[in-house]
Amino acid sequence: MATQYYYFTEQPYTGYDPAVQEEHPALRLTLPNSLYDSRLASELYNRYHDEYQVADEVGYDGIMINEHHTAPFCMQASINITGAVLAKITRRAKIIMLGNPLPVVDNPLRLAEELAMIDCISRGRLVSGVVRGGGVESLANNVNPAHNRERFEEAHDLIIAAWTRPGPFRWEGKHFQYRVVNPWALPLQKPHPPMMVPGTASPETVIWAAKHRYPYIVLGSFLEQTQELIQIYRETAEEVGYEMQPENIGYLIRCFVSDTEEHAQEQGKNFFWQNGALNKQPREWMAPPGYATVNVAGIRRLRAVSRAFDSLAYEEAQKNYQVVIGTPDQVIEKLRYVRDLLGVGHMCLWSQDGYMTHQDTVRSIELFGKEVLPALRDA
Amino acid sequence: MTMAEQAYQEERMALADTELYLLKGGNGRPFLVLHGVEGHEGWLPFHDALAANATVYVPAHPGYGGTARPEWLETIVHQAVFYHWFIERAGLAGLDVVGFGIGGWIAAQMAVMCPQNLRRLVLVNAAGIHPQESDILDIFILPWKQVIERGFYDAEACPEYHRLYGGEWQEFGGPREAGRTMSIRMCFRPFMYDLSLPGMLGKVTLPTLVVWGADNHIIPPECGRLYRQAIPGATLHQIERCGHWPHFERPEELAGVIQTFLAP
Repeated sequence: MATQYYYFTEQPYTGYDPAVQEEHPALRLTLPNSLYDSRLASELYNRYHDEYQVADEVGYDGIMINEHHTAPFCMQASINITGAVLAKITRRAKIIMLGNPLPVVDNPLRLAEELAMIDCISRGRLVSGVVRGGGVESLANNVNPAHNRERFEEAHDLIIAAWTRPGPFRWEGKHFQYRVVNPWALPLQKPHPPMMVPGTASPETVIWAAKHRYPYIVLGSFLEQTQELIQIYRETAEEVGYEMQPENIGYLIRCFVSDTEEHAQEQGKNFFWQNGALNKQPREWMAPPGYATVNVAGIRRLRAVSRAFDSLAYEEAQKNYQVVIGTPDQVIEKLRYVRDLLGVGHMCLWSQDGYMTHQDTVRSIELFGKEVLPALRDA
Repeated sequence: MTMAEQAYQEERMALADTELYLLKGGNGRPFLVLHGVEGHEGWLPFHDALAANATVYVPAHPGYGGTARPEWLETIVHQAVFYHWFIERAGLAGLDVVGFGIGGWIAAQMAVMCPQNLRRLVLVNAAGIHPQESDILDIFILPWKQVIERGFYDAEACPEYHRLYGGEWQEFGGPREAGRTMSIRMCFRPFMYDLSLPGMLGKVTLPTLVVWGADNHIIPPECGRLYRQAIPGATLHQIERCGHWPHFERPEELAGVIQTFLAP
């Protein structure tokens, strides 16, 4: 399989001043939603959807979407709502969900039904990623952090069973129980839509993904750390009895393209629009006690990685490939380097953030589709 | 401290698919002390004060570092079953019990469950009842250092605060993190209460003392009044200039109040 390229934006809500971070523990969870203007949100949602349509038309292989709660940096409170919209307004691109936060869902059977509907409506374009969700998602949804891992695994098993085991059957689990599992919405793709797992630092998650042979997507960690995570995948795959292939691994990288270097450089600064506030959160939000059962070291590393990005100077972030910005020729060279260094079969391009305008975003998507994509597919 | 070191011994007991860790000291009628949210803090000056005329048992609840959590144990009710199991196995029926915070909730549940194993009940700033006029502080959303500090009326003036929390702050791991993890496991949702508890407490006939810190900013004093109302014949004693942890802030005064209540 040739490397696949996906368009991504978190759908940021930009109608407030990130400087308010001085008055709050973080720009999430308890940031007062009196700062939320529904009229602006309505405009932004529709604008982001329009941009997805352009990405679909110019030939991206997929559109990556995600979900966060009480988080102004990501307006998608439900990844399935965005997925359903994409199912209807796009034609070719895969719908790459990275992903549904399984532990915070109280009814995974309904999730299985919704995903099956999206797969049918999109005529089989769903890639159904799953995540544990950061600790703060457990607080936002009031789901016990001490049950996070157990609920993740049980919800996953239940969803796969709902898709693949002929119903009706009973489910008597530790966290979920159903008298009747017999959904009248089953995925078009058989035996079920492809799965994916994103992550940033936790070896626990890499190992889980590798054991299930699910592609693992590293969400923008430093290249060296990404290589370490990929190595863990490779070793786990060998233990389980298969050889890791490029399609088993992917990487999310920030990438903005423009007609001139000068303009690209100006716009690229939007990737830092929150001045690092995203990761300014108490340890108790990121990893409540019980959330990380064995992996305190992973949590430490995650925070180290996040903080390291926040503190990078703009030029430095470009030098070490955290942010790839420039004209088509400039980004082609850099993206090839990263792709080939990591050997990944999935490249997620985080191409819109902060105050980038609709016009600039569309131009970046068009340049990527018309000039960058063909070059990357050639070599 | 040398007095304290000699005043107790460590014991371990195989029980209920785990090994119960406890400290034991003093002479007299058996007295069980159930710790709160963050777990066992060793042998305290408060325990010393009690040990003058009781045999004091200070266990670590299952899941709180010293004692591993058996797979089946997930809730406050399970903890109550566990301690009745301990009382019966150790032949200590008829003992007195005091519980702090979450430990108080366990003690209240024990009194509902099997009062014949107990003689008298002391609840100190106990969790378990949902207040009507205010909220229990959401300790699981605040930076933990703030929680500790808000637990005291005057942390700076408290020697136990400096002894227990004055050293290097351990942000991750360790027995206190294990304790907080178990507290989250049991008390995350609903947060720190059982709506049925006040109703069930109506059956408790044990002599009961409820103790509250007048300046408790973690569990509001209203909860002390609700406990007194729920348990027939219970008395409420308020400690002035004291927060959530009177055994740290007012160990002598607290021990005195308890000893007066327990005196035959």
